[in-house]
Amino acid sequence: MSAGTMSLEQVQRAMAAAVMQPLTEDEQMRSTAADGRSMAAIAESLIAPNSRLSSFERLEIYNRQYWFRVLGALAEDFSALRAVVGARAFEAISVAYLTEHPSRSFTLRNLGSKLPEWLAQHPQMAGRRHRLAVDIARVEWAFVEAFDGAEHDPLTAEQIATLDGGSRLALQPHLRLLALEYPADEVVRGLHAGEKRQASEAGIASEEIEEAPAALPGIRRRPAWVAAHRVEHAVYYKRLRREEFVTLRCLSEGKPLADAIAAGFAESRLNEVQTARCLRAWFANWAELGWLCAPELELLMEGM
Amino acid sequence: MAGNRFNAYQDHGVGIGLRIPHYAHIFARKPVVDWFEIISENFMIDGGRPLAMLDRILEQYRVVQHGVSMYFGSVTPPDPEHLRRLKQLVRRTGTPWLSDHLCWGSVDGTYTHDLLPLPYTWEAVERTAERVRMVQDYLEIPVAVENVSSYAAFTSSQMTEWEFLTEVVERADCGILLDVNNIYVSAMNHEFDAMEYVNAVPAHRVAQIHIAGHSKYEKYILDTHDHPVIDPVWDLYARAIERCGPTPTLLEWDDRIPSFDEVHAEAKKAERYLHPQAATLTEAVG
Amino acid sequence: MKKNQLNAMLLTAALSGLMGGTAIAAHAATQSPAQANTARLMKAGFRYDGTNAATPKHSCKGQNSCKGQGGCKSSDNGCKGKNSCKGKGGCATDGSKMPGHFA
Repeated sequence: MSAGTMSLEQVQRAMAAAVMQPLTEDEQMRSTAADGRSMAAIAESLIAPNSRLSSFERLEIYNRQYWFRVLGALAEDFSALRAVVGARAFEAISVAYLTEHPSRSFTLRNLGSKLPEWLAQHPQMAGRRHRLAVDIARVEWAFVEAFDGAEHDPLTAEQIATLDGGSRLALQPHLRLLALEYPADEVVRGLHAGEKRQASEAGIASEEIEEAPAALPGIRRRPAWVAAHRVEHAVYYKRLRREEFVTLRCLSEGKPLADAIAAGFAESRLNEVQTARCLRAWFANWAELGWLCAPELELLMEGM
Repeated sequence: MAGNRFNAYQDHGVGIGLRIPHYAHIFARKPVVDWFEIISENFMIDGGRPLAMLDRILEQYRVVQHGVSMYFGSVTPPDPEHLRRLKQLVRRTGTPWLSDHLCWGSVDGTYTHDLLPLPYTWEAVERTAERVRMVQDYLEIPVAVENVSSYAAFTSSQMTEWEFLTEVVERADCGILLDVNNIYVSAMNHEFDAMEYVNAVPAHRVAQIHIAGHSKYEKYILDTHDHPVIDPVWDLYARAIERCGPTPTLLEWDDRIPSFDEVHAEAKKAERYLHPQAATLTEAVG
Repeated sequence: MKKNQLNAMLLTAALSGLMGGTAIAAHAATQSPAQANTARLMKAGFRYDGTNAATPKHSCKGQNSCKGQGGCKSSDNGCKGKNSCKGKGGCATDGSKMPGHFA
């Protein structure tokens, strides 16, 4: 079918499919489409040549720019993941992920939203560092969410005075809770600091260095519980105790306060006095950091 | 500057695109700038530093919104969440008008994040105009559509790009953001006369003009916004001002961004065309 | 200690902590921003500024440029060396061929 007989919708579907088709190894447009048709024929049916470029070459400009753009956007948000798996593996991960999950949002900000989950389901993509890579991806995506997530008013003293064990609370929307198998927050911070140092010493942009997987001496599997959150427009990673993490997670899931505390300490080895001391200190910290908010109306209604 | 109904009769002068590398200079020195253009999508978020910085800018400067993902020519209806967030930002900035591109970029809810050219067909005219109207009605401010740089032309096109632009804006009853650099880039890539394009545009609908630099390659030109404006583009700008009268003008510089002063000085060159008598006087005195 | 008593004790600890922390935050709000922030930041953890995630994802270079958000992959070493952005595909390597080609 030629573009002359196609509806606008058909033209857009055909062009989008061509533009979003992965490139060849040497970053050219493929010669055949996924369904086996010739890309040259598809290009000729849509695009007119000019005196310098064929239809194929003109369509290829958009094909390449699409991939350069989305790969660039993903590399910006997951620079530590790229360093940990190496540039080649990261590109393979990115292409496979974006082929399965092309952008469904008007903003590139959301491009990597499903990458941590996707990577967890595709262990073959990251080799022996797979579990670490998944943790790194989760830490880096938490940064994106903490960076520009909403900020609600924290609980007031008047609201706190009305709370009891059955009360439900909400967490600050920019707060992200992570249960990690590796201390990936440290790895991310370390890689970033190293990248900046190398870049500044070499006088080159940080993205131009380190194509091979980064050396990570002494990295061991060791569980870590982390909160990514924002204070005064800057993102922080705060280490939590497991009990602290579970209590917060239960609160975020809408569990009543008493139930969240009980769940948080269900497997704890702390005695009663230690538990009370921890709770007092943690709730004080969370309040100071503005982490606890009144729940949305729907949640309140649900609990009634 | 008289303005017209497509830019809410605003006398905006010459502005530059608001870019992060310039924040420190702007906040420390508070330079006199007629206005800043922001990329809407960078601020259609829930919170954090970008919005805090925008609010500081809004305390001191006029801001006009420019979008890159409304895709007026896309067949798939716009995402309601996108529209909701855009309107929220419109309320925040008080932008007197808003612009986005005469292109498409998403289909069936999948986004290419590119400004893809449209086939210049009557079907595309109707669908695009309908969408512009809908967005304009929803946002309740004037909307201007911008001609894009393009690298491919469709075999199915039934008219020239400027005829297509004219048909869309007349049917949508909207304004035009005339990007004279994009006209130059597309003219080179599609081998048409750029001046013929400028001469054909319905001048009374031009709400704003974009100027920018680009990059030349072996077989085509790319709209890179990483160079000063070249003389042939200034010639197109001069002709546009001759036809449209003084019009809010904006320099885009998006890559390899030089100092604030350098970008601002490049933008201010537009004043030679907007106020030729004043420029001549300054040269004579200076 | 009975379970109910224990639960009551823990809840009291949590709520008193919550009230105390809120009072500290309210007091901090009356102080200078620097003083207020210092106290909060000590409890915030480690600051992380990201690499480029804080930069805007959208620019208006026709979204077709060959650098940065719109262009060559970083692995192309700034568009040099590899073929990804050369010739019919994109970025100039040294620009020597490019200027004046159409002029």
